[in-house]
Amino acid sequence: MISVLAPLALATSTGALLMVPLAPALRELMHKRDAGPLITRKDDGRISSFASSLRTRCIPLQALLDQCAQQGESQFVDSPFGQVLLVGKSGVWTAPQHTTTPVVCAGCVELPPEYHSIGDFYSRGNVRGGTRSIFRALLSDDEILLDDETQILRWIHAESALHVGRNCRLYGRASSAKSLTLSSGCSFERVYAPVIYSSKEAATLSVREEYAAYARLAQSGLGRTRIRGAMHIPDQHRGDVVATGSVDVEEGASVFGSVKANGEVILKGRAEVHGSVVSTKRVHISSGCFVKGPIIAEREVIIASGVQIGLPGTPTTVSAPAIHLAPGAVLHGTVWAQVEGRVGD
Amino acid sequence: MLLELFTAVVVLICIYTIRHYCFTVNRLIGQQRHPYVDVDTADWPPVTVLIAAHNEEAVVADILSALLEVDYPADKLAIVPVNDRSIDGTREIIDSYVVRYPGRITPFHRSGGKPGKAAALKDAMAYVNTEIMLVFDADYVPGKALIRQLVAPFFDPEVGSVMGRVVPLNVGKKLLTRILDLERSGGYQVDQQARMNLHFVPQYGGTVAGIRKSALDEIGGWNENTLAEDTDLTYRMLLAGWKTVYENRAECYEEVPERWPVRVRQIMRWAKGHNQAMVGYSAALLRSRNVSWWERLDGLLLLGVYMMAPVLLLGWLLAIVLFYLGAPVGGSIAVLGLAAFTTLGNFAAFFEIAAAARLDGSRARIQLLPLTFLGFTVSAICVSRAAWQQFAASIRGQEMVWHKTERSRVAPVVLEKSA
Repeated sequence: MISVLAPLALATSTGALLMVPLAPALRELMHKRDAGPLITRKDDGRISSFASSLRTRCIPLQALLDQCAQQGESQFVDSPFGQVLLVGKSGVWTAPQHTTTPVVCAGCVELPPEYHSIGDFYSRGNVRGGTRSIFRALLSDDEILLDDETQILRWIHAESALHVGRNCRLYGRASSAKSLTLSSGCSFERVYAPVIYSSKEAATLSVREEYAAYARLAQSGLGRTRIRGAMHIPDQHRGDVVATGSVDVEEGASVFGSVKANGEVILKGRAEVHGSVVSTKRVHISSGCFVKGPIIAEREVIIASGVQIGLPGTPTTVSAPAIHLAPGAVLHGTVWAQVEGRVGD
Repeated sequence: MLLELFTAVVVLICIYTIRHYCFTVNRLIGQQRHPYVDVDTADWPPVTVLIAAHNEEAVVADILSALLEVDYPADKLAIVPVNDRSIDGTREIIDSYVVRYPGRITPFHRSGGKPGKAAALKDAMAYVNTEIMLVFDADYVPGKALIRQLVAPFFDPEVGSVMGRVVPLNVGKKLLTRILDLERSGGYQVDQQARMNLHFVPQYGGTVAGIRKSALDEIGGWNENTLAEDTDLTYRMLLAGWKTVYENRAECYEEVPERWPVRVRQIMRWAKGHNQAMVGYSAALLRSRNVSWWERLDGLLLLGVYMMAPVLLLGWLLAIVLFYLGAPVGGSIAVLGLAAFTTLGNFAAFFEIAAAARLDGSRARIQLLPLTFLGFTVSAICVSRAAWQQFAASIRGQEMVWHKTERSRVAPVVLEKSA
């Protein structure tokens, strides 16, 4: 009898021991604690989605805000997203210097220097910030003027113009539905506007419009030239260009197509690319150049003064880990620096 | 002789083990490449979306509804369902959408011709009037931003094709779907993205994918004589100097097989098609001047990936035989065991799956990892059987038959709404 039980006991205990590593797997299989499909990207990708979300959250507060505006008062109210400071009085800020709750303003506000807002800040009118202010998130239905050395921690959006003073730091998203002016020393990550100026003076530059003939030429399927090694484009080139090395577009030259280099792309003075510019390394765009399509670099993009990227009505994207803008450049669309973008002095 | 053969098997298995380790380490601590993901503003080009549909009445309405809601200029988006000789209600469902959304959908009802997805797509080219075209299988459910994400890489004139990430939708249904969820995760999140990071050869997957028409024309169009038009196209693009880009953040839901026989047929078709590409393109890849040395090495290893299953089984057999013959195999058996354990399967090795689950932020599903051995064992046997059938068919001069993957969906998909 013992001789039969012993091997059985051995087999059972060995089997049980082997099952130990499978126990968590079997438990998960039965209880299905993590059996849903992987959640894919929820963000619709639009830069102003946070602004839209904040505006939507504030809709239930509008009636109370109107009351505050009529009485010229400020008051804290409870809302579904916590306590909110409603500011009815327009003009010079009289509320606390530092606010930790969300703030909703009925009209224009002029904030003092070194104002700190740790909660979201929303104004239906213009916002004029003081120097060295800090905002977590700032939204205006009109214009925003940020004074020097202001920091935006998450996002900022203006329905009208957005002016950013010297040495400001824009972490996260910065966008305007009309125009965005950056001043020297500013750093940024992702910015968008129909037109972006890298200095006040850039707004006075003449901006080229679409030339229909050029547009047709660039889109007419002119084929692709693939070069082993480096390539120089001395004058006019029709069609896409792909090089296993670097690509130099000489001064005054034009490419009616896109340019890709598995090295650097250098556009010398007044060169034009009526397509995209892509580099696995660095893109250097010299003064007076024009690029119609997206600029994508895996290391760095350098844009000199007098450069125009994109066209009014045909915005585009500049994307790289590091983006350096000289004052005096005009860009239409998105500028997205994965590590840091900076406006030079 | 047997000992030398065994040594060769162990070396091969070790090479693939090292490859998988490199990919995993790259994904965990290496520099990640997503050069096109931030292109969100552009003069978007016109695009044609081809939906391959063969008896897809269970799923085709979902993809049409999803495509009609995507965030892409409607005047630049042509939706072409390719109804390939369906005998169920696919045609009626497509036509009902055509009536409900006039001008948005251009159906192609194919009633004859050679079977197979590549043959259907080849015939559908008459409906493609744009430079960029995207291809989806009918069981996919694209998100709102997906079209833009897949089109963005085509601003790079070197890019000939683009591949997005496939995410299983019916994860919780069965043990098989849970295993496939983990396999897909490892295959895309780690394997494909690592090859993108390292400038190797990301694979065009045939669905959730984009193609530049001029590149396709240059390489001679769709090859209807293959069981895996995706692998075939990947290598023809590569040899012609076009890049394939993998977009890990261009995610799209798909339905994975819920029954083992369906899975067996699917993986056997993949294996046969892949092996066809291996025979057809290995020599050309070695000779090509359009590829870098790294692309050449990775491309060759990728071509051989489905041959590793029969090689592995051969290794096990040899190990047993040599052991009983008293051959001095020594530590080779241990090496083979370890390497076999970590490389068995369809791209997604165990440590790749573990890393992928971590990268995806998955919580409890990683506990199922020991059970993936079941899926890998089935895969190893099926892939080996497919290789044998293929070998036998080539000797007999038989033509291979394309098998469609059956769908299990019975109700429309309801996904969590975007924020």
